[in-house]
Amino acid sequence: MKTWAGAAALLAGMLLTGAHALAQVGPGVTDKEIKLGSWQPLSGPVSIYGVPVRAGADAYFNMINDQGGVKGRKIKFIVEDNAFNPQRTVAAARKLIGSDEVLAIAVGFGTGPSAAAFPYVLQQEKVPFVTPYAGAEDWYTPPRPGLLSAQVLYENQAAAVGRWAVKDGRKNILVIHSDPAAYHKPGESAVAAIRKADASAKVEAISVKWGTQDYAPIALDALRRAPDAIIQIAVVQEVSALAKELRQQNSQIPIYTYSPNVTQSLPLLGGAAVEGVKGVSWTVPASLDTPALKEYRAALAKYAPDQKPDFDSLLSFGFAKVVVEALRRADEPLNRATFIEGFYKLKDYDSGVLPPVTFAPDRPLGLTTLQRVVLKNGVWEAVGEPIDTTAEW
Amino acid sequence: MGDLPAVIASGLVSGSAYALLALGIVIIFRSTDTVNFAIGDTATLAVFLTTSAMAAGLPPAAALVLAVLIAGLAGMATERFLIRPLGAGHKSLFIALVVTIGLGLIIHAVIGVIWGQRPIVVAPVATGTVRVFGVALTLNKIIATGIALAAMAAIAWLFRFTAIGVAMRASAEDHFAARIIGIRPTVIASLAWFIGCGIAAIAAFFLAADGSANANLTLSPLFRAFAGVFLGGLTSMLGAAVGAFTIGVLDNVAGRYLSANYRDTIVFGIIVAVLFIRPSGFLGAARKERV
Amino acid sequence: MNAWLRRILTLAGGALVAAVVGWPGIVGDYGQFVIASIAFYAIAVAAVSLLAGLCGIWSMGHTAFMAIGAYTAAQFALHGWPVELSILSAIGLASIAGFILGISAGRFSVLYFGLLTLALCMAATEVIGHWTSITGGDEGIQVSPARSILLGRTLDLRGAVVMTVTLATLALIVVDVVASGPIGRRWLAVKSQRTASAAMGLRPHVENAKAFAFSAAVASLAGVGIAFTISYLDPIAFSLDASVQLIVATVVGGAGNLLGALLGAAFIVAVPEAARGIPNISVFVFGAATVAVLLFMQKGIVPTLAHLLRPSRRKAGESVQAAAIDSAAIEELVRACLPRATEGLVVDGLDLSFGGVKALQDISFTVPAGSALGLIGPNGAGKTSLLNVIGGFYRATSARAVRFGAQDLIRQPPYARAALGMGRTFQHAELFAELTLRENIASAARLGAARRAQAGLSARSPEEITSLILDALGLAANAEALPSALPFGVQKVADIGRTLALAPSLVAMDEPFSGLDERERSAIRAILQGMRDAGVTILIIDHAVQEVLRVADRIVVLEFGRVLAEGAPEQIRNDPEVHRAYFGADGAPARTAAA
Repeated sequence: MKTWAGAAALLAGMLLTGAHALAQVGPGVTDKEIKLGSWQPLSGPVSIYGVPVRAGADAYFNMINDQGGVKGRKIKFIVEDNAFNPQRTVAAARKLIGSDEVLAIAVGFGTGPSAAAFPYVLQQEKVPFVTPYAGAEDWYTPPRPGLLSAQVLYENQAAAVGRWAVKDGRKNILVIHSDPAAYHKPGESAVAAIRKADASAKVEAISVKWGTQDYAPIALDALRRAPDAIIQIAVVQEVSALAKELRQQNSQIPIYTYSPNVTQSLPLLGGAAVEGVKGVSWTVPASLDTPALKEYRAALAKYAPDQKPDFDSLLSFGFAKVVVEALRRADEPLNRATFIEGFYKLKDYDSGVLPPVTFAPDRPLGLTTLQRVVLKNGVWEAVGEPIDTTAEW
Repeated sequence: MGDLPAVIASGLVSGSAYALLALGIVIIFRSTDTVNFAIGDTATLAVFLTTSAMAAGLPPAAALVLAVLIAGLAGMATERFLIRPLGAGHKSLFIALVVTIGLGLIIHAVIGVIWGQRPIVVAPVATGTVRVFGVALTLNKIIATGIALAAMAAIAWLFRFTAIGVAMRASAEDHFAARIIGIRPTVIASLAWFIGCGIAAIAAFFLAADGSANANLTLSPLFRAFAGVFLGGLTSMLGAAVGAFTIGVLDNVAGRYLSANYRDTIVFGIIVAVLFIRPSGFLGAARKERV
Repeated sequence: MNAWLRRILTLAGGALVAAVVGWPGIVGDYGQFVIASIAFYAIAVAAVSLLAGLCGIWSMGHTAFMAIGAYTAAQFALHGWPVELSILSAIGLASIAGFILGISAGRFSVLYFGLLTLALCMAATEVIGHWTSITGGDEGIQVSPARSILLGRTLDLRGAVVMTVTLATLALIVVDVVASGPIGRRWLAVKSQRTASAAMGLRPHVENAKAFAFSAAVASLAGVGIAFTISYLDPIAFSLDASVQLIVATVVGGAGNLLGALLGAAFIVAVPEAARGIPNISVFVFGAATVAVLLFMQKGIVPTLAHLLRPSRRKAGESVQAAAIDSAAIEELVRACLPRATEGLVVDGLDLSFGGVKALQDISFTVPAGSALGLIGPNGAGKTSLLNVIGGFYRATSARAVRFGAQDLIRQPPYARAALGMGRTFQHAELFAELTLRENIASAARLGAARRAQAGLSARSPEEITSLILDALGLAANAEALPSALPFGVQKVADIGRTLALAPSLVAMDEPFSGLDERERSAIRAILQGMRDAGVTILIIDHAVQEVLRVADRIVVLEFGRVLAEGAPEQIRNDPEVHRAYFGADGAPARTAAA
């Protein structure tokens, strides 16, 4: 049925616009609309991230639509709840691609869950999977056709954090990471980066079960080891829990963490205990007074009034901005191939939200730079200029 | 091993929340043979409602009382409208269990819709820390432990020295016995669900004050409370409380000395070992099969 | 519905779904996914439901067996081995694991065993999360397409869905065949009466273990389906949440019901998927639907509907009384179905104590082959304890000898005694509650076949033996009724019938007359007379002293755990000591008057 309807629409389109838009237009694209699909954890524990990430991307697409869309096409952003569950993600992928017939998947959430959908999305259906809020080193080595990201890898972030601790003069560093591979691997690269930056530094790593609430024994274990800095690779609740336990024991050991925890949730949960926590951020601070950030705050206030400006919605806002820019630069007829080519035309594209991005067939990761930040009086403040995580800065 | 007393103290303090939840589970199970999986969500809902009241200016101590009342009434309503219609007896054991799972999902979703996914910070009843065996414990946790112990003492008194308490105990042994004493079984069931969910709300309230109020507040503590219940015996209130404290300590000891990765597995491994030696838990009533 | 019609319909339905899915262009990718999910969950739910319905075991750890199937399939596919081989290996591995777990099921109450399996599920998730070389750890592992040796090609995603639907169809049919056949009835017997089934020669823990192994093997097929239709495996698919979903599906569909398993699977897949369009509330809808279904259909969807549709049962009271029994017919039955009694029972110097309390002291007596011994005594004299030692349910604290024929019984477990020819009836009948009278007796008749063959009795099938027994005991009119629908007297007669079906050479009877009215007593009397005339060795315990005196050749009187007197009925009737024990010194009824 759908194919017949599509063919009929195509025929009508040919009669109206002439022959140059011939059967080349990709699925999910009409003269009036571009369909993009996404999955987010909108239920379950991880929805604390999924809800704002969806709101940020929604806000940007809505704003663009109200401004007339991309070359006259409105963006229809279809978000499915994947509950951070691989099976539900596969279901979402099949619905988005099989039933909704989207052009591409954008801002998909979750490293494990998204990987579960790859055999279907990337291999069988060859649908672009762009700017995910997810990623692991092996996703991009070697580059896979259609997989493009504007997010610095967790491994690189952790390495940058480790390097930062060494540069701060720390000599005895304890890395505390959750046990799943998504945390374990960044933990390992932090250890490696510390060793590389200062061969004489003492570094230890301990692994903690993901979802641990009672951090008392871990804090006691950490205190016994008496490090002069702690790098924690875990979710924001756990960073806050550890900080509270440490400060309660009157320990002022500095704590470093990576991008996912650079949100206002950390000071909200941790209060005074997380004051002074250092981190790296994908985006510029959400409180900056630049035009791009003003636009972000205005869009969020208008389209997602229940969301306060924060790093996670800002990041997805930035991702949406990169996607729209690639759509703008894509040649007609717009289809999956020209969409990807649109990304390749982005060279040092500055969204004002993320550091400049550059894509090429051999460069699926659009950027490798991060902003260092520190929590002061409950607000994240920038420290120095953005750093390139792949260089020895 | 020098910090063992500190680890144990901290484990006992964590265990007090598990013990309250465990006690709630056992009181409800003894009255209506229902394993109430929604007890944590009911308590969490009560805490969320009181955070709204606290935001409007209610002091923490009054909020605690309010949370207990709300959870208790919600528990009574659950028993009256969802459990009682299912009928009594072992046939409905798993049906009632699945109904409470369903109720838990509903409450969880309602919390998500009303309060969103962001955690809500709850003001603790008191701030400050106290040193016990060289480990600093927050005053909030100490008070929580104190209230937990006081609540347990009150429940012990209720069940031992009041007419209704004695009737409730008798009813747990034999549902007809209470009728003979002259108290309607439905009253006993309502009261048990009120007390059970009410004391669970105490646990949830202090957990929230310690961390933050979120929809998954009681997820992991409830899991440990169930572990304590099975360790101590599903039919023994004392056993459940002791079991839950044991789990709190074991969990901390395992996390500190053995592995922060395998805390659950170690704790459950110990329970399974205990159960193989005493199949009804160390204080549970052994069901002797008639030959 | 007729069993074969049901299976043919299942097969036809499965074939239709497989054909629709397999035909290109009919069902889209998303529809295929939904169908595949329902199919693999139907397999898993059938496995859980079977265990709950037939054995009363609720497993919260079945995702562990699904994981065995899934990762076996993934590894085999990775090495390019055919999918048929991986299915067989998955079944083998899962059933071994299931057998080991199931053997301990009887030690625990239902809820505690649930917890134990839940711990298994958690441990399995941990193992999957850390055994990176096989499972890819918590990051998961991609599954290569299945290669089929029978079809001679590699299956694409559509082919995998067809395969999963096929597996589900076959699994449901196999489960149905097992559940409604003799094995299923045996599991039902063990579920309702562990003691009586052990006395019948079944080993309850082994039956549980077999059932668990079978159920685990079925569940592993669900894992194979998941592996190839999702084509990516991750520990979350086998986590506690998934296990709880299986329980929800089992209860919602109706435990022990196959159509219920299918509906339950459809429920847990389709309800959240249908609520997909309504943002943020799929969890709410799922919870509310679960509660609503169970409030209005407490037994689950299928059993409740079936109950509503079934024409109302025959009213109780109609022709439920036992027909009159002719002791000559019993004698004939016994000669046809029971081997000749050649072994006697010898008890010598038996002591039994419970934690220091002496229940039995220095008990000695013999029951020669073909004779009837009556065991009487006031309440608390130790009669039932003695019977339980003889039945193997208690072990004697010490004894010079407890022998049946040449067999030393002291260390024999209860279930071994039936094979030696020792049968037993129960004070409370203890019939298998979920089996009809015919099935009750037939399940015993199957176990007795070996003894009948050994004794060279005419080669009647267990079904024929069952019919003979039903006719001779006047039970034919009630043969298709469940025990609970029948008067106690009929149940007790059926209990005797069940014991006779085992072809025992000794029958130990625990209070055959208690709880019966005069009419029912005369029936029992006739049966006992017939058995005695045919030469069955009988050991009878009863309060009804006059009845025992009438039927027994010799009497043993117990008091306070000791033998007070022994002799012929006449002798006992006139023994002043026995009078004192029973009626008090002044001759007035004292401790018991149930004569």
